[in-house]
Amino acid sequence: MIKLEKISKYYPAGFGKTYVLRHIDLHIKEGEFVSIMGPSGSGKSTLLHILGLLEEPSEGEYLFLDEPVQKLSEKKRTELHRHHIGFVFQAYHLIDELTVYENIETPLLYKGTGSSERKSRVAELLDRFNMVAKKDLFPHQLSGGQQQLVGVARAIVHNPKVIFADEPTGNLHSEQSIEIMELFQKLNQEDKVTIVQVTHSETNAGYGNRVVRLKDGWLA
Amino acid sequence: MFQTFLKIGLRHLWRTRIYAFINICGLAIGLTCVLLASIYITDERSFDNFHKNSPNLYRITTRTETNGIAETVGGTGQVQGPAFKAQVPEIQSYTRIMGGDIYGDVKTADKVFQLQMLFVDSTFFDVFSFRMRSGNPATALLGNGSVVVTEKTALKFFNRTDVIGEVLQMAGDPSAKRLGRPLVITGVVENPPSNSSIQFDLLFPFQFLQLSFEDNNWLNAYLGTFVVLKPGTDLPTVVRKFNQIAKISSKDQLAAFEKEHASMPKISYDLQAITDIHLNPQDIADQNREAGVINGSKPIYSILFLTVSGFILFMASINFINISIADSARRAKEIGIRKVTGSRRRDIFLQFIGESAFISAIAFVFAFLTALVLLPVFNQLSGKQILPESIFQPRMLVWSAAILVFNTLLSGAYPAYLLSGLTPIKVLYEKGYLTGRSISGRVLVVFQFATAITLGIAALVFREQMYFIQNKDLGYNPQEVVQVHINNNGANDVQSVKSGFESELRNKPQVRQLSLIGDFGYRQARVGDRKFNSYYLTIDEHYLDMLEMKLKSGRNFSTLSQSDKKKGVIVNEAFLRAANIENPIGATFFPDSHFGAQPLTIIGVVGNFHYNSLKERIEPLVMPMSDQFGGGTLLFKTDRTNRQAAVSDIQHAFQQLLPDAAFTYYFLDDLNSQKYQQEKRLEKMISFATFISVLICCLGLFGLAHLSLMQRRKETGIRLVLGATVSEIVILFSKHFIRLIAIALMLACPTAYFIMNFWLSDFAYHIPFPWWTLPCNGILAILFTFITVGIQSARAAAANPVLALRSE
Repeated sequence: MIKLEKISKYYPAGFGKTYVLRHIDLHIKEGEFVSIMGPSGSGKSTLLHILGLLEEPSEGEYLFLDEPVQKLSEKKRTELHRHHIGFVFQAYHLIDELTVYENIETPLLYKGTGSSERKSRVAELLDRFNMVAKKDLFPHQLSGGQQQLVGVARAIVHNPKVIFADEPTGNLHSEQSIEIMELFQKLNQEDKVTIVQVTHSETNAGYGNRVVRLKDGWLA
Repeated sequence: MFQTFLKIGLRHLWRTRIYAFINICGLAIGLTCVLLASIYITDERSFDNFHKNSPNLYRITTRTETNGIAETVGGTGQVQGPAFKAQVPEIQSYTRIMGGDIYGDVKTADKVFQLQMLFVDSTFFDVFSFRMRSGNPATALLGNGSVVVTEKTALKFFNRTDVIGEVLQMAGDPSAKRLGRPLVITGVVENPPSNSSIQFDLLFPFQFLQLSFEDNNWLNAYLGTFVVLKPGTDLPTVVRKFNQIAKISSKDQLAAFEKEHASMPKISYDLQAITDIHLNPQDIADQNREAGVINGSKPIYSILFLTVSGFILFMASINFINISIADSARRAKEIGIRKVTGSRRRDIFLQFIGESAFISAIAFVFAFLTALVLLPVFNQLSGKQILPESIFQPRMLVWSAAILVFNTLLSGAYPAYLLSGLTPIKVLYEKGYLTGRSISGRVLVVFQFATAITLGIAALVFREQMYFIQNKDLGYNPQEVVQVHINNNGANDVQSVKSGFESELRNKPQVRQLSLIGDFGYRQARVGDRKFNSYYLTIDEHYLDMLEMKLKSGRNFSTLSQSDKKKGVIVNEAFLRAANIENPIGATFFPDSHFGAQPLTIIGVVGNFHYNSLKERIEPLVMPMSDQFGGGTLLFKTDRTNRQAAVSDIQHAFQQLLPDAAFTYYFLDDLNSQKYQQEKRLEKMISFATFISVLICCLGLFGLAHLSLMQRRKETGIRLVLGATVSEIVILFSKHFIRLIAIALMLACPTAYFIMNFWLSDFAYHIPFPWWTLPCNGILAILFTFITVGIQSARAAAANPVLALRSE
């Protein structure tokens, strides 16, 4: 499903370049739950951004669903975001002006889902995450763990093929972390969603079925 | 989708309502100005377009070139119209009109008014579309004893409008004297609309004028001749025909002129569309406007008005732009999420444009209402009579829509462009990617302040010059002098009227002195072979005393000397300079032929005094003591403490002596200040614009300071915990803005200096550029900034820092 070949990422620095990623070869099959680990500054987040089509690699080839994404137009890329990719962020990044319900609904609006289907889909998720009572609250009225639950719900509401999660539990205490990670595991096993997460925690990595380690931009 | 946009937009507005308030206020003010400017321009451009014939309706203009100096005036003599009509088949119809600044005393058995008279050909109603209320437009102006009145005039005299067959007297009028019977009303016409260049209270047949004033001279140009051409006529062809006809017809008269003046004027004709007249009236210089066209204006006022209001709107838009960008931190996350969940740049751009349109629309509604409410004030300021209905005319609505779209793009496009271009990685992972201190934001703030400061300097310079004009020593004392105009009653009448006044007012101590003068405008004077234009004013022996003018040499006129009246003359110093006379007393020169062929002897010289507005240089002045009066002006020096009693005494005497005339009077100093009406309006407008722009600037500053305080709340808290004082915090926040204002000041000063110097140079007598206005404005600007920014930062600094730190 995901195939990286000799992917590098560098930034111009003075007269030379600073490499963040070097010659990464990585294959991720559908249904995998991959954890990217490594010390700070090893390029984990950059790799995740490249995988999530938020950044472009400087060199190498990236096939997403067998399609080379370097050549995609903005429109095509947007289509991939709309239909196949979900994101979960460390800082949740919910839209402050929207209620829980509306935040979860947003991706469906972009996907162009009809209103009744939207309603039932959001209701289903609210039910599943035990958040029905909170649907009309605004993000700042929720705890961190609840906000991240909304973040996850938003990431999966449009039935993406893959979820990219960037330290999804980084801002949460351990109980909340466990709740989120168990949710990920369930999504992976029951809903067959491919998950790629960046994490510092071995415990969290243990929920997945494969670990990719990075050091100074190289695959370790 | 649209719903979410709307929802987010509204909620965001509500959460940041203080900025929304600033934006809506500012934009509403700016839009009000632009709306009023477009109302003004629409009105200016609508002049004279109500005539059915207006696409083919032209005025004949005359270009005269004498000794290389060319002048074009919007008039002709009496002969051109009929001659052209007879020989140029392209002319469908024509009419001559004479009036505009001609007023006459008209009375019925019990009422008398001074009214605006217009002498027109019987084809007047074919040519123009003034609507008749009653009477037959085709025949109303035939015959020399008929008159057509406006509804207003009819109501004034008779309190009703069905007045056909009623009679009007004009005892003093020379034509009416020749006619020997009262004039009969043959028609009632609607009042001329306020956007008509042709205004009148009464229409008289041209034949009526010709009873006392017939003129067949081709070299004259004093009345208006309007022609309706057949549709599709080639203008140059018609003009060529005019010039050919004139060349043949005026041959003898030109030859005679050359013989008398030793110079040959080149005269040619042209056509001016009636709708162009208002903004290019081509008034006949140095004469009363008698060519029928008044209310003349200049395009510069429209341009100035639109420019100033445009600047004000732009300043308000800058507030919007700056606040949107500075506040983008709040929106950035939303943008990032949107992009990540599949929104395209275009969608986000449209979303922000939509929000800007929404704000603009709210502001526009307020602006529209404000404009309606302010219309009476605006009319007073601009000297117009625009009705509220005219705001709703289709042309204005199109304008309004255009303004709304323009404003939306002006304030929304840049932030939308900038914000929609943010990449999710940047906004979701990095901090400080965008703050209120972006370069473009600073440039805009500088521009905004530079505009406000320029306006401020302009307003101060304006005030100074106006003060100078109104308080300058004019060379005479206009205080307490009442002026009463006596209409053209035949040569000797005025003198007897004067003696009548003298005996009537002999026992009235409130009226201290009386003088009779006649104004003849610019005419030629010849000293040896030197010829130049001089202003001619006939005076009597009381004139110099009454106005407290000082003789530089020689003596005043005396009634004891018979020769004074025939040969004596008093001139001003400018005359001596122009004539190059060193020993003036006893020197002689040849006056304009109107004052006889004999030379005049200078018996006295007065210092230069401003007989005209200070915009004009003091030209040579010739003051003969003459009986040659058409009409005349009586001046009365009244007692300072008893002005009103004096005026009623004068009025009483007037009604005794001139029962057929309407009494109108002016105080000389009021008349003087009326000459600067246009400037006074401009002064008010600029003061107003300055006030508004300062207000908008302060609103914007307030918003930006508020935002940067919010964004730097934690920083402020940490500084306070580390021991900063409140004043240090205030300085920290003000410093940034003060620096911008310093730059703005450096830009504004030369700009204002350049513009205002240019304006000052329009006055022949003006103050040197008042340099103090520059630092004065600088200090004011810094003060305002300090207050706006300082108060807020002081409040923030006075708050408990723990709150700020905990909330992070």
